[in-house]
Amino acid sequence: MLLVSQVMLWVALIALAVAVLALARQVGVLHERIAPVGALALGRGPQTGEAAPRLTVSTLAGGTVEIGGPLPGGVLRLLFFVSPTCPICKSLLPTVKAFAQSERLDLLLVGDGDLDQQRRMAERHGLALERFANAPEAGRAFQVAKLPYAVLVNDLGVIAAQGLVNSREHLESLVSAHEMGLRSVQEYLTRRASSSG
Amino acid sequence: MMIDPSVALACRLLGALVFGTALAGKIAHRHELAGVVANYRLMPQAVAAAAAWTVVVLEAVVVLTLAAGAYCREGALLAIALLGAFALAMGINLARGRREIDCGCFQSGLRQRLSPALIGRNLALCAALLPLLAATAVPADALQWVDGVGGGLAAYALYRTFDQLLALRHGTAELRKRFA
Repeated sequence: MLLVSQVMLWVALIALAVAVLALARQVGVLHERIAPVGALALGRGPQTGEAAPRLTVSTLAGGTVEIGGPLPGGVLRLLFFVSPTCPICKSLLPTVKAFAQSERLDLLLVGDGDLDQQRRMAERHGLALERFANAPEAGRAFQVAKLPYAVLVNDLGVIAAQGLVNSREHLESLVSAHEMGLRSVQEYLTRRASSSG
Repeated sequence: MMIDPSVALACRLLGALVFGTALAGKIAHRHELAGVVANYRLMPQAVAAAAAWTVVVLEAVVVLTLAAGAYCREGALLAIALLGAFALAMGINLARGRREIDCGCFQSGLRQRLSPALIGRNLALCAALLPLLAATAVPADALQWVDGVGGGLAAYALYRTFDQLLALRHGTAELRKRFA
């Protein structure tokens, strides 16, 4: 008799605990759904609309490349800040490559870290070494605090859009923001809130 | 010191389930494992992968000993040492101000940033495993089995809930900022 009642009590308690856990997980799913669908601008360093810092940096191939400054007419350059020690950067690299190709962006990867590791990363993902700069100074100039970070620079050498990116959706938001003349996902959200409210 | 067999059973079950899910999470995310360990910046990059796999093997030993009930005391001691080491690694990085790195707990789908609450969670788990260090060789009767298994399962479900809420806390703060 005691055994049966004890079993019933435990079953009820475990069922309740599992129900609370399921509710907490549902909240987690909701959080993921309403996470920013655009690249999150961090509000530090050179802002969108300002000229990108002009730097000459060395590439993994041994040459140099200029960051900032005017580009041939109509060309948009995507600076993608990565590090070999950042797991999300690695998982996002194939997406970035395909995205730059489909949007005809001039992709330049900017790394910060051990040269050999960066070279291995470039080889593993089939990235051209001359389009991969090892330039911690560029990260400092753009004040990149979190990775992976992307900056879209237009042909005048002006920052068209920038932000923290975690998915293809975030990358697309950079190009859309540039096309819509918006500076960041925050500006879009504020504008949408004020137009509906 | 004697402890009730139902308490020992509950502690064993809780420990085996917690380390079992952590182990499964680490194996499922094995490609990120070395990166997560390296992010703690406590050792040279070259040994991070070896350290990560050592942790995986030690966690497997904990799961096997606690689940089987053989060398239970040694298993619990190893579990407490691992939890203490993780807490120390998190504490060092918190002191350095590196709270944005992933804790590498692999307990929930969400990425978890470092926080003092995670250290507290590890210490609470250590406390929950302490009774196993006291010798007990008393066989459990039916009622003690029911209490032990029920208590272990309920404690595990509550532990996961606590962990989930902890992972959500940061997301909630971000949302509050966005809609403020």
